[in-house]
Amino acid sequence: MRSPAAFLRFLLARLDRRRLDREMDDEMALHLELHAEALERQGLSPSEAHRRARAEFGGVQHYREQAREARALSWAYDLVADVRYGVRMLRRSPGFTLVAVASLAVGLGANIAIFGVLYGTMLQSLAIPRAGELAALVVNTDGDPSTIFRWKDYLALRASPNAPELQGVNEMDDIQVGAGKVSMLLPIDYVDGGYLELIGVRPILGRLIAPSDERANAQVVVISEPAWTHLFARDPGAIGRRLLIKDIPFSVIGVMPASFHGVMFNWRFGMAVPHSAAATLGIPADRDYVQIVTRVASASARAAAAAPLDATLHGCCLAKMKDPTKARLALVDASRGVPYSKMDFRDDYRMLLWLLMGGAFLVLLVACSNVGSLMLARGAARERELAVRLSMGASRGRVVRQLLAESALLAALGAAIGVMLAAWATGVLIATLPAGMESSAALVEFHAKGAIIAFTIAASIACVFAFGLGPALRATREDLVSALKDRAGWRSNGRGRPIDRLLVIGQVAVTLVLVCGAGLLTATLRNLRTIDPGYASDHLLMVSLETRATGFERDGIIPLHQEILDRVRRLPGIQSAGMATRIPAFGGRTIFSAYTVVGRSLRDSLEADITAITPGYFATAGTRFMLGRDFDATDSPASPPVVIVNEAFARKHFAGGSPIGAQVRIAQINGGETVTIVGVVHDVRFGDRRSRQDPMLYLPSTQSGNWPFLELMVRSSLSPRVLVPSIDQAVESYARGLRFRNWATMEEAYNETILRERLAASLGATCALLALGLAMVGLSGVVGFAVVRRTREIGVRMALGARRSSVVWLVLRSALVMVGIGVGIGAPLAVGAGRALGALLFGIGAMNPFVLSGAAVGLMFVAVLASAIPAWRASRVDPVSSLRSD
Amino acid sequence: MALASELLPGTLELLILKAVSLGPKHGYRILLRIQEISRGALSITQGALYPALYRLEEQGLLASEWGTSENNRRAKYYRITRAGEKRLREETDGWNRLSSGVSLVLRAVTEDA
Repeated sequence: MRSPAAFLRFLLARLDRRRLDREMDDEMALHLELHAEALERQGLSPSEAHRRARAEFGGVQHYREQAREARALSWAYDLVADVRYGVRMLRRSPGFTLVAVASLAVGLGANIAIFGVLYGTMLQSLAIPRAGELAALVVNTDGDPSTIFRWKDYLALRASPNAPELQGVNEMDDIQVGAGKVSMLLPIDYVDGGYLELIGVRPILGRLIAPSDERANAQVVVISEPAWTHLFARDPGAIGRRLLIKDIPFSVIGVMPASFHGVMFNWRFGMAVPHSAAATLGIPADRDYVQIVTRVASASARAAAAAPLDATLHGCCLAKMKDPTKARLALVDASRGVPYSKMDFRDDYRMLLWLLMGGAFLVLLVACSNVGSLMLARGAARERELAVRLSMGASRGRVVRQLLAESALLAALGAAIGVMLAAWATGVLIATLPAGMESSAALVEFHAKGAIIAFTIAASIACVFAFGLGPALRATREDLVSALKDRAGWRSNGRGRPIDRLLVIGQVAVTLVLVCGAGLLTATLRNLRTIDPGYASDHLLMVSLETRATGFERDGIIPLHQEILDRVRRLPGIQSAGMATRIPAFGGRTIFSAYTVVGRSLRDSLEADITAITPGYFATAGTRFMLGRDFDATDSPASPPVVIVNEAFARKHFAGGSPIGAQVRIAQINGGETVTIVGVVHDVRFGDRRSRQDPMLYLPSTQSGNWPFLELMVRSSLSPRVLVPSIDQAVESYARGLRFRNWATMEEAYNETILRERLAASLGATCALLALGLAMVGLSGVVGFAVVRRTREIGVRMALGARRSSVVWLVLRSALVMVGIGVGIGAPLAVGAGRALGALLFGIGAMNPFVLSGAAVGLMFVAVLASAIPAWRASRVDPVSSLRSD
Repeated sequence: MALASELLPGTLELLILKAVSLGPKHGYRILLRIQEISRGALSITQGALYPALYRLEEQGLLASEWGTSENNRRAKYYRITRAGEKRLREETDGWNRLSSGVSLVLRAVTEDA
């Protein structure tokens, strides 16, 4: 066995091509000499002996070439030679190179960009050691999975026999921290003692939180690298320093690397404190939740480990549930982050991203067929060159390799530019994300990760074979010589080579699929935007007024809200203002409560959403009353309780009649007192406006108990954003320290709500436009090529009196026939693709005739444009010179 | 000169292995050796020897080193490797089976005719 160093020398020696060639020459020269000597001994003259020796040896050059090929490593030298040759050939035809590289850059760029997003969101594992083992506990109740457990339930589960080591973490929202004069908001993790150890990420400084910290109730904190940078300017002496969390001193014991983002999907890690510090920091016991993670070796081990935990959970913790038999505890894969959190958008986006990946693949297909058809044309133009090379003794494999090397060069250039395009496109995409999605942006941010590099290389190689192999084999085919002689053969077939026509037809079909898909997605977006949501979206500004984590936390927002509203209403530029616990598209919360309608015996148990609102809220939102009145100042805590219901409620219980004056009993509010219906409002559409509103009960804010927050809505005569400072000031002057969260206009809020649909429409349209552009370049090329080949025929026609217009039509007709066939093939595929879009669509079916025919007519129109230049050129053919030329 | 039969594909490699198995040789000597063993019955295009030698060397069936030839010239000497010997045995067996099979068939045809 050779030592590695010796092997390396051996390898280097072999790579020294010149030396090897020289040795081969020496060897053959010796052979010839010895043979000549032998012949001389048989009596031949020296010159005759040398001649004979050469003749009997055969073609020296030929065997040299063969011997070189026999050396396995020769591919490496050949590669260098091929690439050099390829560069020369590509530089000789810059037009071809430009179009081919641009096509590939667009096709590969789209794929790389979408793959980058797909990988970052759907495929990438957490940046922790052995991420594949990480599993999270989840309770499935009626198909509604939750990974959130009460702390005391966690303690019971952790103590259950035969269970793997469980560790709990509660990853919570931002909280104020300060060190010296520097302060910032950081998300905080309350972790059990062994949690960070289980995760296994080593701190870049100091130590992790240990079980002893938890037991000792130690006020210690592990901070993230960015926090360390911001608060301590990356001072290694930060360990042991004091960090104030909500003005309570904690001691910094460690710094986690920036790559660690916590275990929840789409989370960011700010700092971790022992769970025992939660009480100190004012987390009430009833909000003391954890997510539970563990490590198990495999999927089957997950199931085995879940069984004893399920038994424990049923034994200890489900007594309060309505139907505990429905609850099942399981361990789920958390290697890509603990699922089902409110930050986890994967279920909403999974299908869209895979569809976009498919769309990008189709774009690449069109790009490859473009390049393939260019290569075919080039192969035809280079027949003479290739025939010469083949007849000089180069093997077919060698020439095919040579042509593939050219393809590989094109693909490499295309991929390099494609990566740049992808990085740029991802940047544009991130710039369109609304504020507050920084962690999602970080997920999709473009990095040259291993997986993306591997994908790029694999896609490029696939391209080389897709567009390069066929033309290379064709250009070197056996009957080349006869094909050379038979040039007139394809000139008489005026429409160009059938393979080109097939490629164009395929491109048109694929493009139609993409254009139809984009059309359906765009129509969906328009449908969502134009549907009447039951409120007037313009000139609205909203903000959430939050008492949690402020001095007003104990009493909540209700004691403050009327005075705040009065002050806001007095501000210049404000037409009206109101508050609600939930505002469509913007956010907030409703209570889901059981209710009964007094005087009706209803068999089903009824539940409805309850929103608390102030007088003037409906007027501000622009939601119209169908019947009755709005709340007003007379609806005080002391006055008889009243309720406004929505259309859906009225329809459900009072079809045809008026609900005004009827009474309702609401379980969750005011101890089930009866309330009187005083008004009916039109339904509004919440969220992305896809679904009609369910029955809703609106209660006056003064009669609906306490709330920690209210959403303020103002309607202004100005551009709403300019009101932010004055509202801020007006509230601050009365309730200093009240938190404002999420300033947004209704347009902004709604745009954020339909982010997925907007991305679907814009990215779908981008794919469609790219494919369309590429297909038209391809069509234009093929039609142009055909015109060049038909020059003589066109000349004859014109000499015989054909008019220019009929020549133009001749060319356009051939283009339209190809597009027509492509549309015919693509239409059923487009309907299939529309079906695949399924749930993404709204207000439009997969087989919409307008979209389909619009896309077809659009393609025809663009095809005419793309053929215009070749057609014009055909009409300028001079009969005399065309007949003379060859 | 006797009518020399054309080589079946792959047999050149077998002959080279056989020639080299009798002792290390340079290229020309291998050619002479093959002609000598076959008593000139087999015709080899001399140049074709070299691609075959390089192939065998790349497959690890032959090893080579530079030495000095009979009249003091630098020559590349090939010797058989253990893998080469094994291959030679297998190929010889295979060849024997094939050729005895073929001659059996040929003989049977002659007798029946």
